[in-house]
Amino acid sequence: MDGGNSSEPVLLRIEHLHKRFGTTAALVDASLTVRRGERVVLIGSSGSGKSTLLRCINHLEVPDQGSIWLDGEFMGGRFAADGRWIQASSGELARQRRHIGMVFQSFNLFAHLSALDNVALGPQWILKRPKALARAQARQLLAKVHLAGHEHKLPAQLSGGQQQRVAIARALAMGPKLMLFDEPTSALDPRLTREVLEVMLELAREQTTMLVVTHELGFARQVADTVGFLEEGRIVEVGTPEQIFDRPQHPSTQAFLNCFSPGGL
Amino acid sequence: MEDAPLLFAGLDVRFMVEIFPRMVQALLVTVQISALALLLGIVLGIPLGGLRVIGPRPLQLLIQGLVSYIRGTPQILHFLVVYFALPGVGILLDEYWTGVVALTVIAVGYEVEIVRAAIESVHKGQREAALAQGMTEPMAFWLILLPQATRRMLPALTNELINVIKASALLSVIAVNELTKVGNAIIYNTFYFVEVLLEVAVLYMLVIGALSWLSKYLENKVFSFGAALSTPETR
Repeated sequence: MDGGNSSEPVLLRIEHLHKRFGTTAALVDASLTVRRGERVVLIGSSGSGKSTLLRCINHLEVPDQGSIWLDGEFMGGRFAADGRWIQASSGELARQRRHIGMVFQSFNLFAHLSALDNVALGPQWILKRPKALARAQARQLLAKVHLAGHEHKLPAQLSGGQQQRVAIARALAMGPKLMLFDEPTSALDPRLTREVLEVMLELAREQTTMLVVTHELGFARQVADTVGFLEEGRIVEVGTPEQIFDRPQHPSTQAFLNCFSPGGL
Repeated sequence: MEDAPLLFAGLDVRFMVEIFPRMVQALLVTVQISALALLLGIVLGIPLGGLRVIGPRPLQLLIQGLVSYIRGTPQILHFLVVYFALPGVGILLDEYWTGVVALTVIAVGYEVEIVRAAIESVHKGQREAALAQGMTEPMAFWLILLPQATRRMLPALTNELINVIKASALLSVIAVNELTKVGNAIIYNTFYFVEVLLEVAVLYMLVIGALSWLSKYLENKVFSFGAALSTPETR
């Protein structure tokens, strides 16, 4: 079930997650493990629950049921000695989220701050690093995502691809244990998609633990250790890229992948 | 008034010049009280407006109730409450501070709503990105939401200062020497109705016009990241 790094310890464990929005079941009994250094890619149609799963991990959405452990720590609360569930305070939740970087489909860069400040803000205010150090590190990270020279531009002055790379640098600046990517290239044209995927490929090569929701199946095949297919809130199939793309077992997976094959349309 | 009146369009210009220094002095009192009230209103209105959006539910309802009371009652009521009711619970203020406190109450009532609307108009992805990075709600408010909301508040806040200046005319009923009161006093002594009222009106208009201009200037020059705010989504 787990991919390439099966000797590595489990970093993220999701068990029996349920989430409803009104009458719609967004997640049904979803379970998944991600090992340290593993690259997991989730695929599936829009509305299949991929984004909800990601957003439950850092509690932007609060799951109705189920449990999430990050590095052995229960996300979003804890059980008291008598077995009672105690919801995490907003401060505790904030501390837990520091270990999880998130990249959004719509970038969500802080609109009033320069690229450099977008990256430096978290380390400076959340991790209480000295300003000069936070900014020096932010410069390095911007260079790493190929944006040296763009430090002082506002988000509105950057292309979508550049904004998304700033967003990746911003997430990395917190030194997260896990990076979540929620359809990071869905809002971008093919050329801009490519520059973002290249940065993600570099991260993958550095053994960054990544959980990626994407429709870029080529990327999934290239970097993923493990691919999961979701349909109607259920994780219906998990396997290596070869298993999922070349020998999908579940009829839904087969139908979904057929849409992408040359004969599909 | 020994000299012959200098008439222009039927107005006694010499008299208007003569009373001008007193009127300007009264205008300064008006502006001073209004500015103090607006400032106190902002100091209270921003945290209250923030809590109105991100605070615990009971607190949100409490603030909403307060706002409904302030906005749903005539402004003069707030002056009367501060002037007559506060001494009953042991708080004695002179006329000047009665004016400041009552105007602050009025200002807060509207500023809470201005802050709330501005905060809620910031794209929700901004708050999510802040929280996802590990900021607490207050941090996200002060570092991300409020700076972006500030520019949107400015026109409304200037309007509110204008409202407060206009409401300050009600202070004449508790004998604060602001512009309307001083104008009235001169009229009672001299019966120069038109000259005094015209001068009062022009002075109010000058101050309020200057404020409107200032607001537009700030909006355009100081907070120039506006382009980014209008299109927080993909470009």
